[in-house]
Amino acid sequence: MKPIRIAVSGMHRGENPQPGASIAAAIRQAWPDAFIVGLVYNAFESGVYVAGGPDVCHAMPYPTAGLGPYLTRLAEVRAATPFDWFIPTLDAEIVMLAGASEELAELGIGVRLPDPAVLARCGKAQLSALAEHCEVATPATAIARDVGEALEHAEAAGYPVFLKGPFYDAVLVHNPAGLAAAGAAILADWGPPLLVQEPLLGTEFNVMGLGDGKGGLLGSCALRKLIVSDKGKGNGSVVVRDLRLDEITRRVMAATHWSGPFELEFIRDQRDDGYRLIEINPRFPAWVGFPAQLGANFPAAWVEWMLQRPVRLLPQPAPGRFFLRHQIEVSGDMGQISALLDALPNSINHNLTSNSISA
Amino acid sequence: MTVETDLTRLEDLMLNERGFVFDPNTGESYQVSGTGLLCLRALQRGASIDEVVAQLVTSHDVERITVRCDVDAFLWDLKQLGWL
Repeated sequence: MKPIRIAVSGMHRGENPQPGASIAAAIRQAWPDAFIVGLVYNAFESGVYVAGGPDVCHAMPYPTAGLGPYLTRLAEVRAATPFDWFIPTLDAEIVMLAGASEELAELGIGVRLPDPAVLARCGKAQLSALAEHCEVATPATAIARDVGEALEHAEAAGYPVFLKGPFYDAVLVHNPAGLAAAGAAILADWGPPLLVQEPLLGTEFNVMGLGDGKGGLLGSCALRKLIVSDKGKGNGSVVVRDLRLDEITRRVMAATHWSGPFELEFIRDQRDDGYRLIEINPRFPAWVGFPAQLGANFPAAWVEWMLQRPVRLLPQPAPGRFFLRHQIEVSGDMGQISALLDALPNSINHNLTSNSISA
Repeated sequence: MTVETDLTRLEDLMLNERGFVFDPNTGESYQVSGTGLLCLRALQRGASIDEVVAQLVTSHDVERITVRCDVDAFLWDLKQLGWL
């Protein structure tokens, strides 16, 4: 069988980890001879330098540069190191590429992404309507185009409120000054809209899964966060099994015909013990490597699905299994950093196994 | 007397010999005493409150009325956790 050649983005771990390095590891777990191309935005993305990480890495322009430059660069990368499939892992990439399957196919790059309309329906701005359709509660949320509107919404709702960006960032603000500062920062990083959301007290739960695009599931795994970082990241979580979470997940899949990886974020509201759907992430979460260690290799299943091979339903990891995020130091060479920094617009590869760099 | 229980929640509890209890529904974990562990295991087997009390009286040589009070208090705690 032809070795799998696949590109993966989101290689950074550390304080605000991305899923790419774990996806690469999970793919290698299933296919040790897979050829993995790491697509990075920053030479300090730590997953680049991990043993067993990507075979080759290339620097990419940020999605904010636009689809044209991004596709041009993908074509360059593919010409330098051919690959057949691409798993984008960052929200901004997915939003940009969801409507570009045909353009990517013309480049010889296969992707499986949710339909743009479905993606929009699951975005933060429209989540309340979808949640209502799925009969799951969401926190009260108002959408603002700018800081001024956000201030009005927060005044009406009463402080504190969560201020969120369209893709990332959620800041609990306690007064207008805090909102203005956080709002300006979020707008600068991610652009509009801003979301003003009621804060909820309760425990955070996440469900990761794979939608089959027909309203069904190829597998799912539900966690409760045990340790939450000051950025809201789950630095430790335990597998749970609550039939209510399973049912909500099924309803969301049925309503959206979701195709591919997703993560649903919930708070179990301590007022009534009910789940509130906070967010739908259209990608693998950073903890995707955890279930892969327990026999539920979601990235491998997704690759099988993309290759149109038969996929067996993934087993649900046993409740009580937990992960703790453990930071280690990975070592690199300044030559590698330099190669990646200089890579745009021309492709430069680096071979991690031999620690050599070649143009 | 029987106790109305949400057997799914109660049965799903994961217990070990040291009294560590993990609730897979909520992800919460607890530590219970030896007698608490005995109660939980008996309830998981479908024992009635009277049977639980009788078992504790036999195994701990304590007056029945005392055991009954303690068991009622324990059951109240379990109810607050949604296990009963």
